Amino acid sequence: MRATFALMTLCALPQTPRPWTDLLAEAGDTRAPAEVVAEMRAVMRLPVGARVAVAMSGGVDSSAVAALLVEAGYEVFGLTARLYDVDPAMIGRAGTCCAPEDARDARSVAWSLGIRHYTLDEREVFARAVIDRFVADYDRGDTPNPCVECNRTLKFEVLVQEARALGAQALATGHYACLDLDADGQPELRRGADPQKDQSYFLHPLTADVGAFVRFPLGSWHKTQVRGHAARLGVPTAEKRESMDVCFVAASTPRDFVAGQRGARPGAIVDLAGTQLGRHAGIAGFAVGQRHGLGLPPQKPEASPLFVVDKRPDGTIVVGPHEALRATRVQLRNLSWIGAPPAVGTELGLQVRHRGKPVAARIQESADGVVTLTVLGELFAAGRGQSGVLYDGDRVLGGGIIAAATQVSGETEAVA
Amino acid sequence: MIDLDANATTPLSPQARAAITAAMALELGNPSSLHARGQAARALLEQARKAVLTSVGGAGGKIVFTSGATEANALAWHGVLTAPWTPLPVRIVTSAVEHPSIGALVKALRLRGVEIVEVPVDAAGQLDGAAYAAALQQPTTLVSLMAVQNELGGIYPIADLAARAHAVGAVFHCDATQAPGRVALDLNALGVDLASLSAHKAGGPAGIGALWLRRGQRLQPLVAGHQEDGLRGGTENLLGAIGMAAAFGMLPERLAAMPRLRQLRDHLWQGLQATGQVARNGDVPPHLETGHVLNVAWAGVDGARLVRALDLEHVCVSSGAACASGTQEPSHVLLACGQTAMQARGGLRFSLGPQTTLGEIDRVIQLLPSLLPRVRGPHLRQL
Repeated sequence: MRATFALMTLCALPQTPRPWTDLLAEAGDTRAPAEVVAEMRAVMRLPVGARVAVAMSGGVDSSAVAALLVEAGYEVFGLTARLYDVDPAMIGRAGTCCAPEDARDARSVAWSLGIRHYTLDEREVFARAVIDRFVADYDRGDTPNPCVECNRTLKFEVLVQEARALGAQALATGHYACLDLDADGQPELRRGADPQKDQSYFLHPLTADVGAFVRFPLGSWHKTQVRGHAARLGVPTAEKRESMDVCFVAASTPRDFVAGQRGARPGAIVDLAGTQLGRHAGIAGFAVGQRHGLGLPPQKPEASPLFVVDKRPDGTIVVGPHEALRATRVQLRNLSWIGAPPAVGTELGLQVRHRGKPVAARIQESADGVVTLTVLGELFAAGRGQSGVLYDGDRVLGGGIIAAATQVSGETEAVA
Repeated sequence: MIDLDANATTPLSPQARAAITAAMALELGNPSSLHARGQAARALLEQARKAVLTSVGGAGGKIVFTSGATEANALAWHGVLTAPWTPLPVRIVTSAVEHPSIGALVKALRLRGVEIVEVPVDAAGQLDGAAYAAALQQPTTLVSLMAVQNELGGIYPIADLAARAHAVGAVFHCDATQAPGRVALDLNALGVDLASLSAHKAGGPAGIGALWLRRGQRLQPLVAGHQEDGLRGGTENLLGAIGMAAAFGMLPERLAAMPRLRQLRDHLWQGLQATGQVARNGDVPPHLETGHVLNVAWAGVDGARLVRALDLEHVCVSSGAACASGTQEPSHVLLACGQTAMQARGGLRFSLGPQTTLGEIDRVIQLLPSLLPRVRGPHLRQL
């Protein structure tokens, strides 16, 4: 296999701008390849030669994982899900993921590594599980997080099922999060070591069963190290740009994308008392906590700034002062725990946005899939539809979708 | 590696390899050049042309070398339809199970308003004779039907179909891509006007094919240029033509291997039936199929997934539908046989070649029971 693809490797390899030794030196990574191999084997918990699948997006992280696992002696194959048909205007645009050209990148990386690679046609599943839900959620005033749904459905169901069907012992991805087994043999998801890259927030839909099958080999790595080792192993995309946007709207904005699917839904902008202050072109263009770009007439200088505090299903946007963004009670739906559910009364950290800080909260009620939390710390702008992820220190216990974030003062509740 | 995907491509035959290698050492010129090197190249090219012509029973007709059968199909269609002597409006009769290169022509021409009738097939993939007769009731410019169905291995009665097309004055084009070496091919006897050929389905290199023209058949070129009697411009692919001629020189040997391949194929089918819940697609009496193809589907199994599972065990097969670029449409052939999209996604095609051994077939029979339980696992798309 390797010999067959040697020619392609030669063709595919760009000139590395900087030698990998420089990259590793800059990253402060002094590990010898043998140490990296030992670390990979420890993370994988599988004997050398075991068959493992790698979810390959075409980007540097998952490509590096594939290369590192090949180096560690596993029988690696790559899986890439084709998720949607690309708008011709988007072709060539950086910052996308899982578009046909990314699948081609993944395939060429796989070829250069001498491993097999398969592209799965999952456009139907993605449209149903991610895009339709994204549009419907935005349309009713939520601010959905499609990356979480993609992880839940595409990564943790479709790719896991495919990997198992193809006889893989594990599915590895390039996510920056730590996934190990605890003393009881239960999956334990923790924050990635690189605070700039930590993706644990997006991975909360992990279940115990899937958690025991999936591996995140880069959890203890910093991005700079990944780039260095990718270059060391000749991964052609080692200098590729990061993907950041919501992939399928990358050429557009959520507002235009949702408007394209459902028609623009303009509506009123009102204050907390219900007085109309202005109009807007569509609620998908706004997020709870947003202060700028409301298009309202200028306020008096002494007035306190206005923020979006709610997006109502009827299309009305409510604005109010910063204090109105405060939430003291948060209800999460579609909640799943990675391990055993913690008891009512347990105190934990609630994080409501990627790169946010967890805020102390206490479990007030916990039923099947729904948890109500009393916020103990200061929590502002918890938007409906975003994920609420529950941490114990840096360990992810579980998470769900924010169904309601309210201010409770005594017996009265104000919308926030 | 066990290669059971001969209908996708075949290994380069030793004869073709030797001929190409020898020709590469000759420092040949451009066949159009007047000097000695050019003349040498021209001589080899014409030898290759004659060899191909003879090997398919096409003496008296003309071989136009193309980049492959896809181009030959396009040349045949456009060559007839756009010719100044062809009366308008044009009307085409073809089938619902042609190769995608024909399907693409159908789609493109329909967009431009051309009337095209696709003759349906029965559940086993055989052409509906009554529908064909009905289709020919109206004035027809071109009839285009394949000789051997690539996904199922079915053989179509080209001589009869061509005679009926000629009776109504239509030009008859036959996509014979899968025929050489699989069935005895005598283009003159078949009575077709145009026939597409491909080298790499019969031990030749990919990138070379030909369109055969019956003596006297006129054609409008698709690519202008003086080469190939003005029918296909561009400097000729001499090495390809030499490889094709060498490979087609071995067609009798390939044909002689077919009874053995049929035995192996039957043995494979017998072995696979033991796995249970498996049905055969394109199951027709032996004289209506080549014998080297087995198209099967297991209940609840995605064909493309099984292709991947077999690939990881070093067995090459095809699902007739999967495309490396990541879009996996259900097989149009199985859909034409009346299957649902889900059923059509289950099709798995084994196609045997002269190099196939009993040991390889037994290995596949032994392998499948271990793969089937896990590939039957959940599959979100089918829910």
